[in-house]
Amino acid sequence: MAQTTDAHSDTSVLAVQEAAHDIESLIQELQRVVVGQRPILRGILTCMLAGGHVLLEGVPGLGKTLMIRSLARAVQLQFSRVQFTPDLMPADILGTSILSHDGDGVRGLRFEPGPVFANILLADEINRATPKTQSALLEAMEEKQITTNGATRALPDPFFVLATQNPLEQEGTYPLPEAQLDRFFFKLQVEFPSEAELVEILDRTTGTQPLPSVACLDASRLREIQVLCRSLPTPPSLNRYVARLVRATHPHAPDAPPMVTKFLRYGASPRGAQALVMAAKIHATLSERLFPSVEDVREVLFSALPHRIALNFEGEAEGITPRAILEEVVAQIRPD
Amino acid sequence: MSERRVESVLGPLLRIARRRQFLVSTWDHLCRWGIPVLGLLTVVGTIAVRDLGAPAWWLLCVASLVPLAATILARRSLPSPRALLRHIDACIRSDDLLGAAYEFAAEADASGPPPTTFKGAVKSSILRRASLRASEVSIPSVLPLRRYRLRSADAAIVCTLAAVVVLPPLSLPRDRSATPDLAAKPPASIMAQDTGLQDRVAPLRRELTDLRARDDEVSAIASAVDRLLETVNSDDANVERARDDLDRLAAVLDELQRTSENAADLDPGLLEVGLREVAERLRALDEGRDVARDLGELDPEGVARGITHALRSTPADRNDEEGANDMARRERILRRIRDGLDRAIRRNTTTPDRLQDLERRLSRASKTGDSRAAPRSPEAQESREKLERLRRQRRAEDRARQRLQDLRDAARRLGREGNAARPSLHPPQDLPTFADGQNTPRATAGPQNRDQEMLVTGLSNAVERVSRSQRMARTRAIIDEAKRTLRRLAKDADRSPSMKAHADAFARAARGPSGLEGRGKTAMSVRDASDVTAAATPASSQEALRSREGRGAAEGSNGVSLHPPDGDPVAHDADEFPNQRGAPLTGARGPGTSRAVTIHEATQQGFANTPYDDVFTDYRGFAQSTLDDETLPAAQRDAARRYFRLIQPRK
Repeated sequence: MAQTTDAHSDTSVLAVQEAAHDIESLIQELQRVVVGQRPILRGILTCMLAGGHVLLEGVPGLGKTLMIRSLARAVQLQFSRVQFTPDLMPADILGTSILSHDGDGVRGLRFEPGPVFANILLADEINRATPKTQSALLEAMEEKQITTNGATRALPDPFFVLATQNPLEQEGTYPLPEAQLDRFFFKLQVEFPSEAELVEILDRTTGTQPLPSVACLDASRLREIQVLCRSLPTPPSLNRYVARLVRATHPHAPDAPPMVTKFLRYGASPRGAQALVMAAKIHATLSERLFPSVEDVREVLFSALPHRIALNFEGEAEGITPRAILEEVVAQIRPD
Repeated sequence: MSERRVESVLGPLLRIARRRQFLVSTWDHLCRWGIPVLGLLTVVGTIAVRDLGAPAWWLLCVASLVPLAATILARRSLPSPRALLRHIDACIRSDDLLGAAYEFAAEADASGPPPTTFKGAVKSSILRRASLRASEVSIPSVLPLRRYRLRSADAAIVCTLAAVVVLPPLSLPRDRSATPDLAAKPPASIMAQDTGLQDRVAPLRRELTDLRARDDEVSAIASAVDRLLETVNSDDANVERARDDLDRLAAVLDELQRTSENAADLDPGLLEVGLREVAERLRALDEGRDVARDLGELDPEGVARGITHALRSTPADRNDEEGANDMARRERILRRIRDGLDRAIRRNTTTPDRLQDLERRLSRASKTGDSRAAPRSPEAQESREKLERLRRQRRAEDRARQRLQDLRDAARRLGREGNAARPSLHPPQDLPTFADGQNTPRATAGPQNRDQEMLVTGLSNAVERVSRSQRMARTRAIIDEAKRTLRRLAKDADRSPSMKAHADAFARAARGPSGLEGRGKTAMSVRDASDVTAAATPASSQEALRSREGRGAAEGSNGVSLHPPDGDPVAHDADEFPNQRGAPLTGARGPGTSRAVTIHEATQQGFANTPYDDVFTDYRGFAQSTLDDETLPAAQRDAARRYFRLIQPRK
């Protein structure tokens, strides 16, 4: 019995190592096309493995679309891109029913799927669409299905939304509602590349032909890794720690730091706590470890929670950032 | 490998780690505050035990509380096993492996054998890795003892401790130049110092050191008193026993004193006067200064040796100028001795007057049939005893005067014989020389030697007699003071009420029987030069309040007591203390003037009209001078200060 258990445990360790190796290979492949941005790539893959969605924030021209397109090609998933504009309607995303004739000459309404029916949806400049259009994604993102004309249609599995928004151009934009922000697993800040990275980008893109990414994973393997990550055991103390962290982001919580009480309007939701634990598991897997730890939680905290907490007027006026508040929370809340 | 086994591997690690953590926490508490507190306690304890007489066991008990408190605090601040393992994981960089294994092991124990699922397999793998890692952990390296670093507070404590150890005790030496303010509240340190019995008796024991120097009965008694004071402690039974022993020693000393007086029947007071006069006159001579010093120090052998040396004769074969100088020196010394003795012989005492007065009063009482004169009445008994005492005193004075006359006559004869035998500086050639054995000096050598021997022996005996008398008096005074100290110890608890009663009594006495405008009966006297208290006692006699400018040597009411120039300016009452009239003959006599106030009776005609502020100032000045001059125990100083605080004038 002991030998069986040992063998089984060795297999599990090997599985984790293989998953980490596969993801690392994927990142390496993506970095053949995308210069730098390794944390962003790792964050996007974390969201993909967790079954969540990513909101990328960065100025235009940083390679966000290239990144998503390359990822879709590398994992052999269907990819669609929607450029959000103010006149974009929900039907433009979800699809619409059109009058059509079948072969027998019978006319009827036929549902024409929108771009949302893809494994990877790139919602470019999502904050330029009206709230009505933005809300069209709510059900798709959370339930992985859409409902039009009274009919519910499942979206392809896996379904992964990558939204981008430009932090500079605020004229004529519609900030995302809190409910939709909460549905994004991570919000990642795409930083401007360093000088060396920029030189490398110039070398790669101004030549004869840029290198396309090649497929190195498929959807089934992706789902296997997703299951593997979810199967990792979590120490109970880690769950307690995450719960205390999330509770401490609420201004009226008894153990909230003074900064939270003073500058926050509301704190992270339970979905944020779920995101923290799940992201910590994936982070541990990518580090070839068998369980998430406090350090994993702290690594993913600043990607999973900043968009889930809202500053009040005083915080905005004082120029307080959510990251500063979360650092205060981490400093105060101690694990068991 | 089962979870139980992994738990059994983590168990020993946890136990060792917890013990080590307890040790580290305790040491950490000691480093942070325990050692500085112990240092402070050491400083306080050193002062308290050495200077204030606090019991050492009490301080040890207090000091032992510090490590005990550190232990309790360390136990209360012990981290949970999970936190401890998290700390170990952080130290060995095992990514929380041991901590997670601890949690998973606990889960596995609670839920039975692990399932053969992926999650169960992962847990098994974690436990196995943790067990391997736990066996490699070196607890001392992950939980090291903190190194103690010296801080500024530690340096301050060490310096203070060194100062306390190096510097002498608070009570010794006392700064005599600092004049205590009678109206000021006494320092707390002195109040605390009073609590030590040994500190109280320390001045007495130092005084006994001189008295134990010789090999006689007085030294034996002084040694016995010293041993008794050395072994006495604050225990009630011990104090009571010590007081009984002191009473017995006082009785032995009294008996010795009586025996000595009966054997010699010489009044030591008059002998002292004679010796003092002689010493004063010899001090003016270069060749007599050594003798004067020996007289002052009451050294009989030194006196005999010095006078013999000073009166050394010129060899018979010397007939030159040096011989003449020797003769002149002899003559000067003998003349000074004669003059001093003459003055002492002419000195009158009040004993004859008082004897005559007492005899007249007794005679008058017997004639008038006064009931107090009945033979068996206590008053008559007391009067008879007083009469007998005065008669004995007069006989002793007569004999002492006779002894001084004998010495003076011997000195006179020596001088006369010396003049008669003085050779001429230029003798005629026909006169016989000293060498032939037929000259006059040779003829007078027998009586001259006899007179010189008589003079030397007489002065030496007088010194011996006075010295013995003084030593007995000082020993008796020390015994009395020791008894008072022990008695005060028993009354320490209610000292404040007694002090208040004392002040009230003095205030009543100062007001007098008729109030502020009346004629009071208050008397203030100092009973003994070595006594430490200025006792305010009512007395029936009415004497003057005398104040005079002098050189520090004050005379008492009877005129026979001598006082050190810088010491007690109050005279002894020969009637009350016939055997305690001795006092040192010499002292530092500075050229400046000093004010000595003798208060025998605080009230006299017109006293009640004096503003109370002035009276208070005089009284306080008197007590202040006593405090300045005498080596008083701190408790007595405090009593005097408190007393004057109580009676100071209030606006």
